[in-house]
Amino acid sequence: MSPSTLTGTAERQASGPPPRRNLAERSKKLRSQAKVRSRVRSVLFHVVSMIVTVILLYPAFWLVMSSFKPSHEIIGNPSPFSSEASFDNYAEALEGLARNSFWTFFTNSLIVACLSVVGVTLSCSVVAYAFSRIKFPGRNVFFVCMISTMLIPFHVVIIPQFIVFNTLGLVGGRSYTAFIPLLIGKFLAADGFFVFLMVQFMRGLPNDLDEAARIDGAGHPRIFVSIMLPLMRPALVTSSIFAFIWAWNDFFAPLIYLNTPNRYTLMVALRQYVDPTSGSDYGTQMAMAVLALIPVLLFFLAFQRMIVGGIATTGLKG
Amino acid sequence: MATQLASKRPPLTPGRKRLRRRSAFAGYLFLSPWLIGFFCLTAGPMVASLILSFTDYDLFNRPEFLGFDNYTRLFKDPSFIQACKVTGLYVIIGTPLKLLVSLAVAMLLNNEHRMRGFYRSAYYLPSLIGGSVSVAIVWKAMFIDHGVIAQIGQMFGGDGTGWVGNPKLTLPMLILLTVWQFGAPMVIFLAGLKQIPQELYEAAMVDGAGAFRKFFSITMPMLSPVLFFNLALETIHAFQIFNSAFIISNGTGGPARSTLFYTLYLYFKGFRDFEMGYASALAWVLVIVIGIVTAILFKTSNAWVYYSGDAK
Amino acid sequence: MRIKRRRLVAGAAIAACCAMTLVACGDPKDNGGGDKPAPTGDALVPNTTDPITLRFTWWGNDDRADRYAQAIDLFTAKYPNFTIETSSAAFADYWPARNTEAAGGGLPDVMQFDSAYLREYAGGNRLLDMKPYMDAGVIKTGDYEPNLVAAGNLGGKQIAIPTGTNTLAFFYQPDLTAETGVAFPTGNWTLEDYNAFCTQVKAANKTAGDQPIYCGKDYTDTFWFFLQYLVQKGVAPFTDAGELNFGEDEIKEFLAIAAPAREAGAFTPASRLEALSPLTGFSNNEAISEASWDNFIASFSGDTGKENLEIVPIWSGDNGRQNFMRPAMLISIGANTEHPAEAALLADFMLNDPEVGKIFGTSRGVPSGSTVREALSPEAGSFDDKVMAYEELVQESPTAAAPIPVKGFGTIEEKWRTLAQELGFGTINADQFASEWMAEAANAIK
Repeated sequence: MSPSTLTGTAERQASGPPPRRNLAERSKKLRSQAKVRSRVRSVLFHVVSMIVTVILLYPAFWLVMSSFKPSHEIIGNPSPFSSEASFDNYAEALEGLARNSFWTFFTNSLIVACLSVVGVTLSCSVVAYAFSRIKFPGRNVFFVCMISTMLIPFHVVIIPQFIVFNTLGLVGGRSYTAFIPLLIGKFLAADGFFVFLMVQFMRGLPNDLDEAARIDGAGHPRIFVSIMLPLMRPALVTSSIFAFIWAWNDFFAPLIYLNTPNRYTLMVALRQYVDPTSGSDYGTQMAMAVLALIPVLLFFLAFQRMIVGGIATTGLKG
Repeated sequence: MATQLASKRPPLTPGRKRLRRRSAFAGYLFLSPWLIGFFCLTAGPMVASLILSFTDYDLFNRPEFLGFDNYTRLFKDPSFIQACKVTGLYVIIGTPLKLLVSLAVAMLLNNEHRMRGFYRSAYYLPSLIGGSVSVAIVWKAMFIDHGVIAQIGQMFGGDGTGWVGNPKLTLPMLILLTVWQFGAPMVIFLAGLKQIPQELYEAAMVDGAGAFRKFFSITMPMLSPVLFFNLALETIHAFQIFNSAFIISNGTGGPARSTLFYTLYLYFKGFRDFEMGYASALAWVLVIVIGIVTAILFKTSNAWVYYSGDAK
Repeated sequence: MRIKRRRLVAGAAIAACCAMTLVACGDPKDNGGGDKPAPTGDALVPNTTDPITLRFTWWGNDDRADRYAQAIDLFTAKYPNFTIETSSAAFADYWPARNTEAAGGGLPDVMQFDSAYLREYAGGNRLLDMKPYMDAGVIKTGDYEPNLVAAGNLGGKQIAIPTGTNTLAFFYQPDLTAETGVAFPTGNWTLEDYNAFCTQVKAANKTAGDQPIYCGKDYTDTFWFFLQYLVQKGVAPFTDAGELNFGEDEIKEFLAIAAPAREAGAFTPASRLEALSPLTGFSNNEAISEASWDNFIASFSGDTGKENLEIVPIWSGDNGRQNFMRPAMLISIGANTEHPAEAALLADFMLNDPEVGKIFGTSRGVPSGSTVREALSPEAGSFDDKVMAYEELVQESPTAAAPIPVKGFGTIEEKWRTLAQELGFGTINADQFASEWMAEAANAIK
């Protein structure tokens, strides 16, 4: 058995037995046995892994192939390939619904997701700095409060929140103010996951730098902006990626807060396609579904190591 | 000054007092976004919904105080009981199954092989997109009458009917959807497996321990904190399933209330029927249930979670 | 000391937020309308020169959206100073959206409305009283049946005006009766006759494609059919005070009528219906018949792709059919509108313009006004012709007054539908159906 290395992608050939054992004779014999065994294991590993990959990615593959097929073939024809393949579904999907084009929804989603990123990175980094670098009375109590908000189902707060936003005239409506209820929490560091992620990261940073700066007379705002923020880049990037993807995929809050079609996000618009009144137009649904997934997939391809690494260190949900 | 900071419990000189006060001020200033958010978006609304849960508020009329009526009504409400049943089954079956699969695959990937990174990313992908409406739509289309799954079923003697229209099969279908997203806990398991000192396995090998022995005597105990973490996280998430059930049932919780998950019922009561008081009672019952389940997990964790000496 | 102060601050913050929520609850808004004095003089004349923007919304499918788009193009061509912003949703999504808007005082200027929700909106000044605009001749209802206009008048206010009328009917497909060789009942048939028809269709054992042909879905699955059944029995479903005038026994009785056919598996199975949703066996050409509102013929034709659908009278009770004419597709104006006279102009256009009438045909029901009805002049044999002929036929025999929906009607109607589905799946029995529905109704109506 090889000692595990730190990088997951390191390409090592089958290795010898552990170096600590010095029985040269046995070692030689064991080594050749191990070589055969490890070759067999390697083949087995790839066979199993490939099977798992195919099963797991099949729905995604099926989705993409279906999006080119006419509706009746999506349900009736199990083969992923179709003689009638075309871009018709995409043309239909881009037309949008209720006199709003696809790009309206796309822009809405983009606005919400981008502002979420801005809100999360700004507010959570500031708050994380307070939790990890400043001593003040009650810090631990608040930290525990912050952690426990992660356990609370947000359904318990959504009703009063809705009532307040509704009274303030912020629910629905045709203007961009309709996004405020979706975004305000992001700017107030309401998602404990991101605060926690950044606190963990900041605690890992050495104290010398900011202590030196403090001795030089720098205040917390200076230290935060000119020392911590640059060092926090990895954590900020990871947070941004997740903030974007989660805001993009979010469905419950937009479903409740957005009720005029010109402010629908893609996910809410997508739900309208599944609506009973539009009949079973699977083709358009599939094309829309693909279009809605593309930004997430692009993010994944670009940042996959950071995403997977971020999960591993903080245990964020997917 | 530096030495003063380093010393453990210095007497409170006026200068130090000022320093502490300044630091406290800066602390609250930096914390203020979260403080406002916590009080206005979490703590305040929680108290408000607790109060609402004792009223019949409907968004239009002045609320009237009902005492415990909403709570007693809950236990006579067949839809509430159904929602508890569906959600309970989903949590109790779905979560362990998902963790089992993710642990198995993590064990598989915990060896040095070419393309390990590729597999890890590929397996993680479903977790990233699994919660989106797109995937729910795909899932529905795959499991519908004469859909892909029904046709595969036909090869094994099925009758070509899908899972979507069958109240007995919609829950398994949603459980499959969550198991499909095993990537997130798997990545955490992998990180945990990497932390296990290799010497332990080598020592066990010298003692002639087999693979099973090694798994149960080394891997499991060493991995138990990670397992606990995953279990708690996944359980809490499972209670809150909404998107996929909503899309697959066309926003009805059907067929025959077989996908009437707790959060779906809460949504119907609160945002379709505008029974805000009753929905608040539902929400508080959920908080209490999740609280109890979390407490039980933590209490029992003492018995089976092994923290080695150097754990943080 | 410090801890105490901190607790105090925290407590104050929480209290402030709760207070905000609760004040928000305790102070139901005026919703913009207020009890303004009735408009007079110039306020009643629509402005046709300055730019005006109105919001207009409806529920329905793409077909209806196309027709409304045409109608609105006509309107803006006639009144170029108007801009109409439109939106639409499915019926089920339509009401939560209107409810939130109503709560926040932001209802659309003009909207399609359903009688099921009128009672809930009658209070609280949410919908505009259109009476002044009717008196001033902006909205013309002179050629309407008086009881149709009255259907939109609640508590002395004209909060809605029906576009047309619907009545219940049966549809069947001659192609499928020919295929199975079982004829649809004729004359004054009863529900027992229909049960027999269903078992015969089942016994014929024919298929359409790979699906067995059924007579149709369980007819007890729709709340309106139950109301029609009560009316036939001489029971007014709701009291004048807006309470239920029936109990569990009547529900069980009604469900029991279909029980023989249901237990024999003679209806399209619930699982098949679920898989077909939003279509039904009938609209997917695998069931011979279905009962619905008579204006559904056009959409059924669109779904089935068949031009030769037949529309026939519903079953007869002891006192005949007693069809009621339901005022349908009402038009309402939000009380919060800034342009009431202009909104009234748009409402009138949607209700009474002959060209708009032609665009919609009978897809919104048979038009309320005789002018629009005459303007339709449908081709012989067309769907519009069939629907209009059907309503004339129905009115030849005695008809009953349509039940006025109680508060919470939308909720109890939906509850009926979901419980009927469960009955079809066999997850509940008729007794559970009745008791659960009554419990839900008790909560929704109060």
